Amino acid sequence: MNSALEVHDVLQTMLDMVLEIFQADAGSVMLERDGFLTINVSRGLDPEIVEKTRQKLGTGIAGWVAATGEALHLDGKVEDPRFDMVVERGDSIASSLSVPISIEGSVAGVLMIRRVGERRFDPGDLAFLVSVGDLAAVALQKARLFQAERRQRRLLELGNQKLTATFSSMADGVVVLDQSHQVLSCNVVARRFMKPICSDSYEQLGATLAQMVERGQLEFNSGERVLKIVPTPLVVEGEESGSVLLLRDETASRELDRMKSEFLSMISHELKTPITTISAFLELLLHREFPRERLTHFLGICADESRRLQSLIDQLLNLTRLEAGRFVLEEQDLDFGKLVKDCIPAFAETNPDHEFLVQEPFPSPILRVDPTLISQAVTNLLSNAVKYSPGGGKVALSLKELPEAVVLSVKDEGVGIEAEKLALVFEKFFRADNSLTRATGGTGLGLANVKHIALAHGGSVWAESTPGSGSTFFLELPKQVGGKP
Amino acid sequence: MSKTILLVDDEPHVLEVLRVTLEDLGFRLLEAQDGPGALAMAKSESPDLVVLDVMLPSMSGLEVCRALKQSTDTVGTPVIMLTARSGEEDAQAGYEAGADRYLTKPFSPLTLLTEVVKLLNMELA
Repeated sequence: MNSALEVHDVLQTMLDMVLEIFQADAGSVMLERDGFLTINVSRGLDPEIVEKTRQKLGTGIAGWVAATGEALHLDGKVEDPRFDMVVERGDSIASSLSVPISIEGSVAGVLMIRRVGERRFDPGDLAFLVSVGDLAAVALQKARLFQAERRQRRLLELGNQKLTATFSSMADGVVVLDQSHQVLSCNVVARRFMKPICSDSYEQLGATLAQMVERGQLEFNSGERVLKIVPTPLVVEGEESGSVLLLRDETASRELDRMKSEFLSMISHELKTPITTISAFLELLLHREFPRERLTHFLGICADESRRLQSLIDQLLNLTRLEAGRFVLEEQDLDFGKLVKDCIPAFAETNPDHEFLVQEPFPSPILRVDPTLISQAVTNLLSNAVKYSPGGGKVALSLKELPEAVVLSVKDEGVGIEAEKLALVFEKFFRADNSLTRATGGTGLGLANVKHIALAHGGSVWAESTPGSGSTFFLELPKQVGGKP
Repeated sequence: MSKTILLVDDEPHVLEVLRVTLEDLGFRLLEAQDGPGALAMAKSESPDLVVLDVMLPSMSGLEVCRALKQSTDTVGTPVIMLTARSGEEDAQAGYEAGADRYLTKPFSPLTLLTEVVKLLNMELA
């Protein structure tokens, strides 16, 4: 039934029945579109004519019927002046009937049948065909409505599919609740986000979220992540009928906030320490008398602390400039192996508990680098190794020459870093140890500086670690150092 | 009898300026650079007062303070926290750990001296 409702099929079935009933030899149904009639279905007509017929309304027989809405019975040769254009035909028409197919008062098409030879239609046949034409109009209208509906449905389905795909591939979770807090729909992300709290219960999910929104608790910790709820009323046909809740994963930005505030507290501590010493000594010197040699000693301490302050500020500024990419590399061709080795003695002197090993063979590749920055990077790697192995131990340096690059590795026997924190170590503000204790004393700037120095030279950094037994940090620099273009 | 004061800070220069600040009042001055060292010295030397930094290696000053206030030997020993952590919640944490005074770095030697004298019920000469 459904397939018979296709416009074309309906008309064809109808035409075949009409031809049978009226004992006609040929017939057609022409439909109007944009002021022209074309043959939609036909029987017994030359396919070429069917293909090419395009009759303007008001011209020709069918055009006249369509324009006037009147039925027409013609016998023999057509010479009627009403039809200002008659298609020339090779065959002879004995008798033909043409009736309009009208839908809601306007002509939608023309039904035409004819006989060849001597058999002519009776006048009664025309009246009968007019009724058939009316039935055809009803069938055509239904078929068209059905077709339109189907097209609409298909569009809707397509739209739905798109919506579903968008819905499920969003980065945010989406939950739609009705007014009684039942979940109307919920995407995969939302289910995943809420699983630690609601396992797989939709009922619980709806109730939990609705309660949080009512309480104004728009941010919560699911145990796995920090989630933010963005609620919007669900308005259907102008009426509020529930709510759409967007669940946003704020974990990463919270972590960044935490690292930032920790960094600020760290950096303020690092800046305050030298100022504490300087200001306290200055106050003492202002109010008390000291012998010359003590005075000199105190001023020496103040000078040391000023330098410390200066270097800390330099490191901060360096990092800021490196991060902003506003940096001109002052490159020279130099022996990278030697540059690395030259950084070691200062550390060996101040860290007697650590043994610095240079693993042979330690090649001497000539690289085009900024010596100040690269020394700083190497120094920061060494200082990191020392800081994170407070109990002392070996710090092993090795240098590998690859076809395109060199890789420096610095291995310590320290506390190590857990795998999930490893990716963060090169981020500014990051410190593996975030307690109040200062076992490590880092500013959280050293490794971030190393990363940016490597990047500025077209290189990269990475780390491997086994918690409890130490970490290895790698610095790779390309041999054909272009630095930044 | 001279009073004993234990100074705890991991920065040698800060320890030195503390020592200079308190040197002329006849105190016996002891020093420790980390938490475990401070606790050991507090146990063996029974100081009359402790000046304690917060950000110390391996064990925080807050933990040291709590340990001192939990031990019957040192529960009555006044503790002055001296730290760069200047937030109100940091001071709160200090007092909750049992600190008697919470001074922030940079500090004024005269203020520190005044607090020490007050806590030891001494007259400032």
